[in-house]
Amino acid sequence: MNIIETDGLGKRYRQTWALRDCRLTVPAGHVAALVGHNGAGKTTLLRILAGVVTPTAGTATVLGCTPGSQQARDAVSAVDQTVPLYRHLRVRDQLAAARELNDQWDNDLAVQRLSSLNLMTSGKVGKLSGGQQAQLALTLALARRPRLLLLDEPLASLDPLARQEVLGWLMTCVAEDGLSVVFSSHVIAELERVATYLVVLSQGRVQVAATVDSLLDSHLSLTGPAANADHLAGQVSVITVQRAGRQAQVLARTDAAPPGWAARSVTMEELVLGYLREPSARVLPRLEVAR
Amino acid sequence: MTALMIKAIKVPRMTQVTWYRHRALVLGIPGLYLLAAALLVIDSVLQRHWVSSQHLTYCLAYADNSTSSRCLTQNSPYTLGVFAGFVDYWRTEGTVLAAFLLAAVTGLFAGVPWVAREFEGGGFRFTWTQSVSPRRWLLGTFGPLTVLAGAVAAICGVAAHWWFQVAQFRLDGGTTPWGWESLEMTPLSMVSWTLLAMALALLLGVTIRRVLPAMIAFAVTFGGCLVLAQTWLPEFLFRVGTIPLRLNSSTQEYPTSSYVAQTWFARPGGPKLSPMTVYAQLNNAPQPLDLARWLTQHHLSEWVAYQPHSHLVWLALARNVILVAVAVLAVLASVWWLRKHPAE
Repeated sequence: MNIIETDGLGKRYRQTWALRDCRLTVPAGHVAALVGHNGAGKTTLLRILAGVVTPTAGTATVLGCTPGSQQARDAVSAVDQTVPLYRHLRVRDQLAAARELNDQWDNDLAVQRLSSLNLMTSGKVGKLSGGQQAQLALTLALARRPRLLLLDEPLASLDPLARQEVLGWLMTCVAEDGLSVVFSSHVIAELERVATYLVVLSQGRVQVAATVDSLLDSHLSLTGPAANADHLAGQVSVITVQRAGRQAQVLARTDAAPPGWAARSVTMEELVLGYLREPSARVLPRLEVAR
Repeated sequence: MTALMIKAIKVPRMTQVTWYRHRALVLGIPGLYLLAAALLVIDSVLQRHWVSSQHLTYCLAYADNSTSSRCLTQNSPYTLGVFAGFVDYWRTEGTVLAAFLLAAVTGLFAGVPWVAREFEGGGFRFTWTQSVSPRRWLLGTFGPLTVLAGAVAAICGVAAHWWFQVAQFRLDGGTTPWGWESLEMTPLSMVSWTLLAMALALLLGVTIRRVLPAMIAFAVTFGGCLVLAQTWLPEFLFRVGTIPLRLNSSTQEYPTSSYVAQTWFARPGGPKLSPMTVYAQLNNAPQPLDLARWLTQHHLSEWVAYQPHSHLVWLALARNVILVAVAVLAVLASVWWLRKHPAE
């Protein structure tokens, strides 16, 4: 089953397309990382999936339902990059309001988590630090016991220890509850630790969408003479070429190194950066590279 | 105990959320109206005490307001009294105008901000990703606030009506039941204006989504509604269902406290002539003039179309129904707009 399916999805703000012709499927049970340049359309995509933005074109489903429908709303939790909370409320009132706003609510989970973070204070939400607000928003999102969690740069305001702790908690929820997660981030090292599915957006379009394992297995980093780099395109699918003097480093989609080239496995960071450097290269669900 | 009572009456969940989120409004709206009601009651008690101390209570019993007013002003020592003279046109008129301000202030500082700030601050992104739909959020918040405002406006309206029973005679020369002051100083009218203010605030908040521009738009729109409701609307309504009456005969007069909606002249079987046309001819006639004879000589009869006093309650009701209908349309338009433009 796919947790997310989009077909020809587009969103236009005045004359600018933030997202265009987006065709994407994300299977259930994955932690899907959503990466892309600033303005690539990540936030727009997540907001459409969360049901707070209406697409201009195309269709989208989350867990088989239209985003924003009651079924989708009950099963999907989202934390926007703006960390939307009722900032003028006290933390306890925010918690109480969230409880009233939801048909399904795990109050014990929320209280225990907030207590462990020392957030069950009488202070106002707006007075909490950015990291604490993010922790609160994540807690409220998970207390809904969703089947799909959409997170838009959730870790940006957290310190390194808190990031590690939150990621660990997320992974526990994924393992224990079968939760699927889609989260966007610019910190690729974080994605590398938890992501099992990678989606790269570029200029409002899906550039890469595949499991991390299949991507890592099907790509190699090739090192060889720069003079031969131009001829390499005839032998393998070249994603990017970086020249340094007489040497060239090539990210290629291949499982074997061509003669005269040294090969090694790629890291997720190299893979992501390679595709971000070359927006016209695509890896779509069947791992077909198109240039 | 309170918690048990709340549980027992099963307060809708959005109402509880409204309480958590908009406590200042939930307390401020009743505070404003009840303060105004208290001031009106105090003023009314002082006025009634003054009338009673001057032994003028009998004046209030006249069926015709102008007679009551004459009685009060002619029989009272003009410079005495609690407020250095009973007749105080501006004080009374100002208080009536302030009653409008209650609805305007409620819409401006309670109705517009709660919804516009939700969009401006991005709070909707939290609410809409919970189990409540945008429509349920909109109506679930607007409903309790508006019901509360309507209820306290009704209480304030009762106080205003009681206050105006005496205060109307402080207007120099009094007022008629058909005057705008009389129409406004009723519980129904206060409620209608409050509902309209809240509904307009909702519509402008949902469409504009920025607090300050929405507040400015509300002030302009609500002001326009006030002007229309005082000028065009009564003029239109008071012409509906009028009773025509020929005035040529000296025995024929329209009842006191009725409202003359239209006057015209006519020849038997002929078209209506406007008073301006006839008066132009009258000016050319040799003076002094016996109007009745002149009209008879020219085969003219004078007609009026009037609203008897018994129609007033229905016309006032119709006026309030129109205000409430506009409010309902504004709410429906808000829901429609939110469905078409959930967020950008």
